[in-house]
Amino acid sequence: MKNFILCVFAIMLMTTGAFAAVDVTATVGNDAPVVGAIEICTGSTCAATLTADPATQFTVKVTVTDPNGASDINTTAFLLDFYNAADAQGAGADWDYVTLPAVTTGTRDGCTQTGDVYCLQVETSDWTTKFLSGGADIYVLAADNAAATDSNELLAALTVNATVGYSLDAATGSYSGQADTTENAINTDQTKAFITSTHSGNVAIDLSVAGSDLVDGGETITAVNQIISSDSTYGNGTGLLIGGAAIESSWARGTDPTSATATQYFWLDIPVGTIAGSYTGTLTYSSSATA
Amino acid sequence: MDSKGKIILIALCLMIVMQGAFAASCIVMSTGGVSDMDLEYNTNNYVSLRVYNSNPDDSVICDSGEYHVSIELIEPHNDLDTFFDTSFDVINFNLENGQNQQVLLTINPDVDSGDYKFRVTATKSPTGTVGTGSVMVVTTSADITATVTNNGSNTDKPLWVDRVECADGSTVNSGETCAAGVAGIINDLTIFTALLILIVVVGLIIWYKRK
Repeated sequence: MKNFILCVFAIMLMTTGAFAAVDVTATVGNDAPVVGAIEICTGSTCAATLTADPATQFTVKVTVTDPNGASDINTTAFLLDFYNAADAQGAGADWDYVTLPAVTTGTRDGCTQTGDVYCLQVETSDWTTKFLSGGADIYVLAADNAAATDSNELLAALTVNATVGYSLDAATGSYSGQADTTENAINTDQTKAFITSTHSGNVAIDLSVAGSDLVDGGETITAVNQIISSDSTYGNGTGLLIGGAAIESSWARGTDPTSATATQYFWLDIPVGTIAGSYTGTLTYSSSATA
Repeated sequence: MDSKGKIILIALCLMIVMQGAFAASCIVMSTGGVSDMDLEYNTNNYVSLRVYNSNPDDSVICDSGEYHVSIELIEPHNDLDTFFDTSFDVINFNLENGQNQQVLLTINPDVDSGDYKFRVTATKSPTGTVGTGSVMVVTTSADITATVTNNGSNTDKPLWVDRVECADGSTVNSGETCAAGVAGIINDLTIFTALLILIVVVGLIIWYKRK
């Protein structure tokens, strides 16, 4: 009997062991995405290089793969930087270094977003006409859902065209005074006695100003009676010339974030015998790239 | 927040609003980075321009306005139309704050060789009205240097046509009369005088021989 019990117990043990579950676990590690080829697209064409005006739209086409599958790529976490070739990647954002974290993606400009191809969109408002002319680099960083990243850089791929221009803080200016008086200060539509011009381009410029005669029917106050000065002292001023005179030469754009500005004060000398009336003319500011 | 804090906050808000309301006359132009351009005789050559009504400083709002583009030949100082056929696909256009306009310039040489410099200018027309005073005109210019290469074709208006400068600064072909100038007339008179002298001399010789 004793042997029988032992035998049954042994069979029970053997039977239990035969049906025991074996837990198998496998750990799959996360691999970072891989950022591959970069192209620049505009209009309906993509290429390795692009010559473009600053402050215009373009799209960066980039191929990104992930060993863990495309679904592991965080499509809302693309970082796109583009910067003047003299800058180093990772420098602080300024006029010549544009950084677009979480850049918008989607089909545009000849880039079709499908499979491993992503289209990173640069808008007109993402950069300005101050972006330095010349070569620029493009940098793309991609992340997956575990925040692992990879990046690629396309050197001197973007050539930025030169821009020339400025803005004035006024559209009109008026004088008021009696005949045979001097030093009648201008009053601009910004209620100022001066006009400030701001450099808006990406190269050095020459800036000049010319004045026309002020005319009311057949009556004229000649241009030279408008006095211009770079400071608020009337005595330092000179009469405006119809042909124009330089007010800035080799005018640099300033240092980010402060644009270069120049201020001119204006007065009107009203000659004796001038008939009462409303005399109008033009002030013409002109710029061109410094040769 | 106490009343003093409220006052400061209101003042700051006013400053921001006033800064945002700042309006300006703006103009910027890009000429596609063109220099040392190669032009081919009797062929359309293209230059891309872009005109902006924008200012990179966020605090500035640019007045909307009418823009105009033009081109002149500055070296040699001659009539553009005599040596080149030029056109813009857009000449006048309106731009709101922050907008830009691409303009395509076409240059087709009527000459078969030479170095030239063009000046392209964008102008924003005067805006607003004043009593006694001035409205602002803003312009910006860019120069394009170009070389016309000879591809062996015949020329319609070859460079050997002598140009004569008139008193008003315009130029005409030698032998033509200035519209309101003097030099062309002088030039014509020079030719006329030479012919007259020749006739007189020949006449004198004939008269002397008969005598």
